[in-house]
Amino acid sequence: MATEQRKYSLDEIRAYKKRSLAAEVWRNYKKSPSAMVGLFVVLLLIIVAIIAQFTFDYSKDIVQQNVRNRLQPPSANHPFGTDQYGRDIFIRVLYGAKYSLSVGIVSVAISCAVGSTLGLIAGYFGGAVENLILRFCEIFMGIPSVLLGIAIMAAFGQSLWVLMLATGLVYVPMFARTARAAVLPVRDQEYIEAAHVCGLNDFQIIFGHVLPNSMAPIIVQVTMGVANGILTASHLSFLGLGVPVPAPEWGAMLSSGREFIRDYPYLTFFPGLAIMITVLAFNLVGDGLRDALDPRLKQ
Amino acid sequence: MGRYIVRRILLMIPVFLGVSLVVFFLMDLAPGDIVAFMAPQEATEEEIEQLRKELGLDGPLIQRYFRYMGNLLRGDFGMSLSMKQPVIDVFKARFPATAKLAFGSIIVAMLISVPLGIAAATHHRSWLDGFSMVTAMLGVSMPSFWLGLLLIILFALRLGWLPSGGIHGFSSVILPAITLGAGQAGHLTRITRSSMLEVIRQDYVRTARAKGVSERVVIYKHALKNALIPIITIFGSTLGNAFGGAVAIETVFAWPGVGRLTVFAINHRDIPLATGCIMLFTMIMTVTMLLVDIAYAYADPRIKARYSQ
Repeated sequence: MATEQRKYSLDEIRAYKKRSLAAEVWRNYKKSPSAMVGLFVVLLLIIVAIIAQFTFDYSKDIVQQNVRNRLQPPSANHPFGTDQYGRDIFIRVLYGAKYSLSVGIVSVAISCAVGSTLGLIAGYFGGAVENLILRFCEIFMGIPSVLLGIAIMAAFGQSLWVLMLATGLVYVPMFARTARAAVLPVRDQEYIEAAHVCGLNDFQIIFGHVLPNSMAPIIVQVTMGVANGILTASHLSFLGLGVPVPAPEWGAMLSSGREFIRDYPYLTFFPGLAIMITVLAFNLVGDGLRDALDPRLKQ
Repeated sequence: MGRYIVRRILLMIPVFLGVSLVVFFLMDLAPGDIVAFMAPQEATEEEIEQLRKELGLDGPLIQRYFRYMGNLLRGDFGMSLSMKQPVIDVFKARFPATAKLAFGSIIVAMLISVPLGIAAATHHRSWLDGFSMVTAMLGVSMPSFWLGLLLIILFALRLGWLPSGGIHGFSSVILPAITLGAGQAGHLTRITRSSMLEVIRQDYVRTARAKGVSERVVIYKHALKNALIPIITIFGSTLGNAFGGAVAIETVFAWPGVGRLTVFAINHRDIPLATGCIMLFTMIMTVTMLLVDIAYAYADPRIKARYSQ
């Protein structure tokens, strides 16, 4: 019987393995309508951000003041109304998508790269190294995240890049702990031992064998991290410590509309709604991914 | 048990030292020479140096750090530059307001999340479950300061039922506590639901049902006690989130707490006040978390047993 079985080449097996894993996750992911809605909104936001970037002229459409048009209520011409400087809020909200998205994505890239590496090292080596890294995480988790963000913004000054850095650093410990927890069950597996026996060095084992097998929780954390990052960054901007004015960052727009809250509530309503929809979409994707990657967790 | 407590307290020391290092060095990086800014315009170079010395802001960074830590151990957090008062006094005067807000928000969060989580778990996969999960998801995703502003628009400006800010009497704490509690409630609802789902599948719950105990008693007497354990476990971090979230909420509601004080200190380059606020905030949070953990270890015999060996 054995001779009749078709022999697969190594390449074929690899291709099959790759395709099936991604396809498996996608197949599970598709089943959840809320996850699909989240994905759709995320893609839509990215497209909007890109189109807005090329359609509108920053100095003319976004920041130029037009006092004659100030504080117009929502109408066909200005779907979200105009702000105290006569700028169209709808256009500013569309243009502002790029700030929130880029802060969310870049900050997660920072916290994931730094945090996961620390977590992998901690989980893989254990002992004193692990202890040191965990204590380090405790220090940064001890400071409430918004306060740590504020301190970093105060130290390095206000700009989009510092906002990304501050938001990213705040979430480093979370990634480190997630990655470490994901490594622990993998560390003692036989294939890791086999890799040692084959003479691979620690670097090769960590990134070639440990990481791919402890990926799932990190991926979920990344999507949730984008949501958290956007929220934290908008918090900082709201407190006047984010992207400097007059950039149409949603948190900052909301904050500047506060003084007109009594008579012109739409100044604060629409930017906040935009933040919520964005964060919600990323959270839905994160939830969907978690269920798709590990159906056992689904309840 | 005693050993557990001692161990936890000892472990706090390096964390405190680390936090102080991080905060002190970060604040030192903040641009602008506050002393030159404070000194009168006609002050000479020498007078500025004199003032710097008086404020204890002279010398290299390391030296200043050790001086600061030495004073801190004696309970001296330095002088606030903008208020001309000891930092610790300013903080003490403002802290009760933040504590009130934080505890109020946790009560709100519990009142929303526990019933919602139970309802979702006991009516698994029904519309009720869907409703609670959507609500929880919205709570987690909503920027708290935005919710605060919406509540102000509706209940303070339109309906005029509640004050829009400041601190005077019970009615003024309602809106801020709801605002801060809503986000927490999102997390807690999800945790209550999943922990309840787990518990009601356990054998002892089945036994209770088999004995003919009514469904009400099964859920609220047998299952709920164990289902609430994870919520108590994360009480410490819930409180931490409440303190952190208070920063923006206090700004929205003009609430005279330490969160707004910290933002004020940063905006006015009052570095000693900002440093002191962040350190004290962190200390209070860490100590509270420790107390919660100890209380929890006392309450749960399993944890007590683990540490009594």
